[in-house]
Amino acid sequence: MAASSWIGRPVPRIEDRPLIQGLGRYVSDIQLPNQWTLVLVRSPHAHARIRAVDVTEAQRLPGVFYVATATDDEVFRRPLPGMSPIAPPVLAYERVYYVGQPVVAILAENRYVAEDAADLVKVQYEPLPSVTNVEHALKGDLLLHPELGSNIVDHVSYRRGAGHEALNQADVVVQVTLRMGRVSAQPMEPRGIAAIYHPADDLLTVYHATQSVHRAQERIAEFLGMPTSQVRVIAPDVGGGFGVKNGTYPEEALVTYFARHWGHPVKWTGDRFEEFLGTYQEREQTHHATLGVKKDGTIVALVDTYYQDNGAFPGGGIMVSRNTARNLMGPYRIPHFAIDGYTVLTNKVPQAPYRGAGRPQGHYVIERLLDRAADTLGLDRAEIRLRNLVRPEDLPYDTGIPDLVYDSGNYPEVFRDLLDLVDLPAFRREQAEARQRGVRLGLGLAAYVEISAGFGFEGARLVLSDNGTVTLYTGATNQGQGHRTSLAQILADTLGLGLEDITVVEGDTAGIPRGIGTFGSRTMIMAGNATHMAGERLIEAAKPWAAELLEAHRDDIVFDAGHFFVKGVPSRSVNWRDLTERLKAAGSAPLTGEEYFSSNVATYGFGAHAVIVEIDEATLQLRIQRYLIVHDSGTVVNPLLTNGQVIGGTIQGLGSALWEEMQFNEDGQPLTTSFLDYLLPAAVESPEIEIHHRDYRAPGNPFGFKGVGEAGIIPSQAVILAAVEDAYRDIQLRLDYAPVTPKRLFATVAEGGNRA
Amino acid sequence: MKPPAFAYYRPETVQEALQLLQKVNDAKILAGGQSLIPMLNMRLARPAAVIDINRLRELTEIQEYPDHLLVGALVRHYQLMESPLVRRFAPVVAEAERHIGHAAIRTRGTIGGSLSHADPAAELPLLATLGDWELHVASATGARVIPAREFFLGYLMTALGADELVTHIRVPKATGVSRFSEFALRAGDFALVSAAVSLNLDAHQKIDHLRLALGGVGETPWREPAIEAHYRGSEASPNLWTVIATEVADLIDPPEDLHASAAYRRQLARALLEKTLAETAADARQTLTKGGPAS
Ligand SMILES: Cc1cc2nc3c(=O)[nH]c(=O)nc-3n(C[C@H](O)[C@H](O)[C@H](O)COP(=O)(O)OP(=O)(O)OC[C@H]3O[C@@H](n4cnc5c(N)ncnc54)[C@H](O)[C@@H]3O)c2cc1C
Repeated sequence: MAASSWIGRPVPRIEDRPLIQGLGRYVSDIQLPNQWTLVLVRSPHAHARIRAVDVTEAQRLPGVFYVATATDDEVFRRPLPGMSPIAPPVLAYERVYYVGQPVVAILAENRYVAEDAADLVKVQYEPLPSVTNVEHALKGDLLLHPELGSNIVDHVSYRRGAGHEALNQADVVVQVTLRMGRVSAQPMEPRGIAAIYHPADDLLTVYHATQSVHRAQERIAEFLGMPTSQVRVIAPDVGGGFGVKNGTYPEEALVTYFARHWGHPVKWTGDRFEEFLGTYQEREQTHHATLGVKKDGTIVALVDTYYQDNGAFPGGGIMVSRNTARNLMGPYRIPHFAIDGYTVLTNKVPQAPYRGAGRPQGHYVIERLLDRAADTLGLDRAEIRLRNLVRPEDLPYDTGIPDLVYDSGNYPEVFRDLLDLVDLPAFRREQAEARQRGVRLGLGLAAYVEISAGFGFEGARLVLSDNGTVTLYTGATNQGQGHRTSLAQILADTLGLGLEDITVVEGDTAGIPRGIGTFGSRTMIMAGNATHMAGERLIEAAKPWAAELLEAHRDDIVFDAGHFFVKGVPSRSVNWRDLTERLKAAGSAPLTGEEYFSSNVATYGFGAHAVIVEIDEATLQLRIQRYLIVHDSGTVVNPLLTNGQVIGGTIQGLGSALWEEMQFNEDGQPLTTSFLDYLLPAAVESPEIEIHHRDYRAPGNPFGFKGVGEAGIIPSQAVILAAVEDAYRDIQLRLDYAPVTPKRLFATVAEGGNRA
Repeated sequence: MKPPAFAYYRPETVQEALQLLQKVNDAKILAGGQSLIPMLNMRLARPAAVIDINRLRELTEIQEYPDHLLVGALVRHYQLMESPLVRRFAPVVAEAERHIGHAAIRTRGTIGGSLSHADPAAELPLLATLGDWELHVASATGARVIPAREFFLGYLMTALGADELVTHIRVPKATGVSRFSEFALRAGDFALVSAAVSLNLDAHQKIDHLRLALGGVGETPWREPAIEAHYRGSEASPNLWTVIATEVADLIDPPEDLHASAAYRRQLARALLEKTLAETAADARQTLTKGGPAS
C-alpha cells in the first residue's frame, strides 16, 4: 500500500462548488424532448372498495394525453416487483389500502394541466372499516389481505441461553411498554423519475432519484420484461435519500412502462404532499420489553416482544423489523434473551428502511430498559452501563445473534471518556443550582454499536484516459455523501495521483455492469475497498507497459507513489502520463482495472452520546445546552465527511426525538402532510455538537473502514428521553413514547409524570 | 401542488386596483404571496383571478404624523423590523417581527397581507389589537376606516368586503412601554401562543395604563378591556402579574390541535403573560427613573 497522503485528510468536497453555484442536475432539472408529465390520483381513504372510476372528463381536458386505471390493462394490475410475500398492484384495483395509494395515472403536457385533470377524475369509493394500529390488527377480525391468512407478515425470533426462563435468576425485573412514533424521511429532493425509450435500439434510459441504479435496473427490467442490458439507469444528482429512495414504488413502474409503451419521454417528480403520502415511512413500533438484572445492575436476561405497524404492504419494512432484533443487545453483554418481532399490516403507507433502519429501535429499547433498571435499583444510570458494556477482553464478542460478533474497540473506556468530558459531578451541582432558578437541567446518556455492511459486494471500474487521468465508475450511488471526494482520496493514494487527476462517476449502470448501491452505511466499506483493489489491478495492468518503456522485465517493475521503476533504481521512472502516451502511440486500448469487493463480515463502529437539556418549567421550552459524542469511525478517509455524517445523523435523530411524528386519525387519515405540521429540525434547532474520535480499525476489511452514516441517529430518541426524565427526577417522570413533544411532555407532567 | 388556472392582473395604481376589484369576479389580492401562494398551490384557494398589487408604490411607505405612523399596506415585514420610525415609535413591532417566519418570508410578506390573512396566531394582528391600530380600507365606491378590534372576525376572516383593499394602517405612537413574547415549537414557526403587553406606571409604581393581548388562544386575537380597566391603579408587583396572568388564563378558551392541547395553551398563555408583564414593568420602571415616558 502506498504512503497515505490523501486518506485521513479533511479535503473539502469536490462536489460542493457546482452544487452551491446551482449547477446541480436533479431529475426535476432534466427536460426530455416533448416529455409528458405523470400525475397520480391517490386514494383519499385508508381502506375502501373502488366502486367506479370515471375519467371521461379528465380525458377530455385539452393537454391530457392519457388517463389510466387498473381496469384498462393487465399491466397496471401486475404486482410491484421486488416486494414479497404480497405486493400492491401498480394502480389500485378494486380496493385501496392506504391514503396516498395511486389509483389513476394521468399523462399530460405539464403538471398544471395534469393536476386539473386529476381534479376531474371521479372515483366512487365505498369506505371500509380500517385497521390503524397493531392492537387492532392483531385481533384478526379484519384481515387486510385475506390470502395471507393473517395481518402478521413476518415473525423474527431469537433465543439465547435460557431465554425467558432466565428472568427467574434476576433480582429485579423491569417491564415496560415502549413506543416509537412514525417518521418520514423527507429528503430535500422528493422522489422523481424520468424515462425515454429509443425504439431503434430497444433501449430505455431512465433518470432516477435512486440510491441504487442497479437494483432499479433489475426491477424495471423485470417489470417490463426487458433484458437488463436494454435498461440504462442513471442517478443524476440526488438530493438526499436516507433509505426511502431505495425501494420499489408504483411511480417507477408507471413512468418506465409509459415511456416504452407510448414511445414518448415521461417524467414524474413527486411534490412534497406526495413525499408525505406515498413515500415509505419508518420507526413505528411497540415493544413489550422486560429486563432482568442482578442487584449490582448486571444484566441477566432481556425479553422483548414487539410489533411493527408496517402499513398496508411489506414495503421494505420486514428488513427493519428484523434488523431491530439484531440491535436490541446494543453494546451490552446479555447472556439470556428471548426476542420476538412481528411485522404487522395496517391501513397506512408502508414502512421501509429510513436512516438507522432498526438500529435506533433496538437501542431505544435496551437503553430505556437500562435507565429504568438503574432507577429501580437506585443505581446511577452511567454506572449500570459501565457494568454491562462489552469489555475489551470479551472481544471478539459473540452477541448470540447469528453472524454478529463485535470485533474491535474498547467500549468501557470510551464510555468513561464521555463521562469525563461531561464532568458528571460538576453537572449534578449545576443541575441543583439551576433548579433553584426554575430551570430544569437533565442529562441523558446512551451508547451504541453501529452494525454496517456484512453482505453483498460493490465494485469499482477504472479507466486510464488519454491525458493520464483516471475515471472511476462504481455502483455506489451518491445522494450527498461526498463519494466523489472520498473515493477519489482512496484512489489518489493507491495510484499516486492528485485529486484533480481523478473523476468519480457514480450512478450509471452503463459505467459498471454490477452494483448494489448506497444505503446501510456500506459505501466506504464496500466501494472504498473495491476502489483500492481496482487501483492495484490497474497498476498490474500498467506494469508490462512500464517494463517496455524502461526496457526491463515486468517482474522487476515496482510501483510507488505514482512512479514505475526498476527495482532498486527509483531515479529513472515513468508515470501515468508517460504510459498513456505509450499506449496511444501503440494504438492500444486504454488500460482498465475492475474489481469487486465482497464480504459477509459486518463492521462494528461504536460510541456514546451525552446530552444536557434545559427545560423551562413554565413553557416546557427545551433547549439543548450541550451535545457530546465519543465515536469510533474506523479508518477515516475524510474527517469532514465522517463528522458531517455523524452530525447530520444526530440532528436528524433529534427531529424524531423532539418534533417529528406522522400522526393519523382513527380512520387512518394522515394529519401531518406538510412542513407546517411535520416539524423537521432546522438550523436554529441544531445544537453545537462536540465530536471526540476514538477510531479503531475494523479488523474485517483491508482498509479497516466502518460505517458512519447511521451512528448519529442511533441513540437520539433514547438519549433525549433519558435527559428529559432526568430533568424531572423529582417527580420520577417516565417517558415511554418518542418523540417527546412539548404537548406530550405537558400531558405527562400534568398527570404526575407516570403515564404509561 | 400547482394552482388551477386563474386570470392575472397587475394594476399600476391604487385606483386601477380598486376598479379591477369592482369589475373582476372572484378575485384575490396578491401581496407578498407568503400565505396566498401556498394556498393556491395546495388548491385550498381557487380564485378566478389574482390581482397583484406589488406595483402600487403608493402603498410602500411609512410616514410619520404627530401622533401616529401611517404604514402602507405593502410595507414588508423586514422593513417593519428595520425602520427607524417603527423602532422609535412602535418598538414592539420591530421586536415581534423577529419571530415572523424566516428572512425570505419577511422579505416578501407585507403588513397588509398579514392583517388581511388574519391568522389567529400571527404576530401583527395581535399587535394591531393591542395597539388599537386602524385599517384604512378603500373600494371603487369609497373609503372607510376599520378599528383593528372590529376587523378580525374569525379564523382567517375579516370585515373586509370582496371589493375592498387595505391601503394603509394607522399605527398610534406608543404611549406606554410594550413588550412581546411567544412560544413557537421551532424558530420561525407560527406561535402556539403569543402575548403582548403595554403598560405605564405612575410615580407611585401604580398602573396608569395597561393593555393585554394574546394570540393563538382563539379565532381572533384576544383582548379584554374590562380586565385592563380593573387593574388600573393597582400597585405593580410580581404577585400582581401572577394574579393577572392567572385570571386571564382562566378566562380564555384556547383551541386544541396537533401541537398543543387546550390545557397546554392555557399554561403557555399564563406563563407568557406573566413573563411579559414582568418585563414590561421592568422597562416601565426604567423609563420612570430616566424621567418621562418612552419617546
Ligand atoms: C414558512 C412560513 C412561515 C411563516 N411564519 C409566520 C409567522 O411566524 N407569523 C406570521 O405572522 N406569519 C407567518 N407567515 C406568513 C407571512 O407573515 C405572510 O407574509 C402573511 O401572512 C401574509 O402576507 P403576504 O403579504 O404574503 O400576503 P399574501 O399571501 O399575498 O395574501 C394573504 C391574504 O391577504 C389578502 N391581502 C393581501 N394584501 C391585501 C391588501 N392590501 N388588502 C386586502 N387584502 C389583502 C390576500 O388576498 C390573501 O387573501 C409565514 C409564512 C410562511 C410561508
